[in-house]
Amino acid sequence: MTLGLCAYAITLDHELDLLPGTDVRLVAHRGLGLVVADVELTQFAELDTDPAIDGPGEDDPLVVLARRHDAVVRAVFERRPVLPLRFGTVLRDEAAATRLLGERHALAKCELDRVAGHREWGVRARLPHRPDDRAVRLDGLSGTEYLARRRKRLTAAEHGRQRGAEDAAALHAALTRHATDTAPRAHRSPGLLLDTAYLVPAREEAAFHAELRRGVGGVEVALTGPWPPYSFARLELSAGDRSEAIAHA
Amino acid sequence: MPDELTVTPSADGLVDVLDRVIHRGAVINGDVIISLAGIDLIRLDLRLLLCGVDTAFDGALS
Repeated sequence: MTLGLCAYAITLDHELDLLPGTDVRLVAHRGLGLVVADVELTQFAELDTDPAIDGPGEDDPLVVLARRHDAVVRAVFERRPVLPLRFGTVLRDEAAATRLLGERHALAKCELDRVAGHREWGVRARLPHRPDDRAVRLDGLSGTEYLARRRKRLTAAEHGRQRGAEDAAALHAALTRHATDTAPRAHRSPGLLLDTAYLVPAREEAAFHAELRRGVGGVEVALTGPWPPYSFARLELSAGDRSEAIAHA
Repeated sequence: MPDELTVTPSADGLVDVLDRVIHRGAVINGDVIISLAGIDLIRLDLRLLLCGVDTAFDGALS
């Protein structure tokens, strides 16, 4: 057995009364707090499955841990500004947590101030699914008529794609006016015209949502959120310069 | 478009949760971090998130 300290998020130092019945707690230092819980490290080390084969299920060990991470971050997020840490951040002990908060205090505080009062929203846009007109009867058409019809259909599809791309770009521009920051998804599916996270201040949320309802024109839009600012906690915090591994007991 | 904007309960969007939790968030380096001898603490396959993005679209505005 090897115990470590799983770190979920950086927040302001405050009374933490979240997730009763768990050992999630706050290590506080100079006004900042690191949200942590004791974890058995082997459960992380064994996440070497490849859930992609069937798509991950809710009982996949990775999914269970990821859900827990999200639940803890959200519980803090409901009460205080939060800077989510990447899943799988495991510290040695509380002394390491304190050291981290001390050495990177100014940067962490600055980033926390930046996301305070904001929520993250995810927006995707794609071309609507149109009924397939390939089933149109082609009997009795001459070769020339057939080719003309086929060319017309391809041209229409190409125009549809162009218009969709323009609509998505216009939507993005409109949404960006209500956002402090935006973050495109790194691995966008080819079928999507837009797949972006927006960091929206509370006072702009109504306008942001109104923009989504308005003028999405020829594209289909999906919204997720609100999220803690996962996509906007981009900093790398380096504490100490020694990288020291411990034996896997 | 409808008057009411229905927001997908994000707790249900597994692909979105995994994408955010695993690929985003602040990264901590240095000697405060534990790594297990000789192996990455977490070995994940990016394919996990490349599949299923379209299915994550199901929560369209409705």
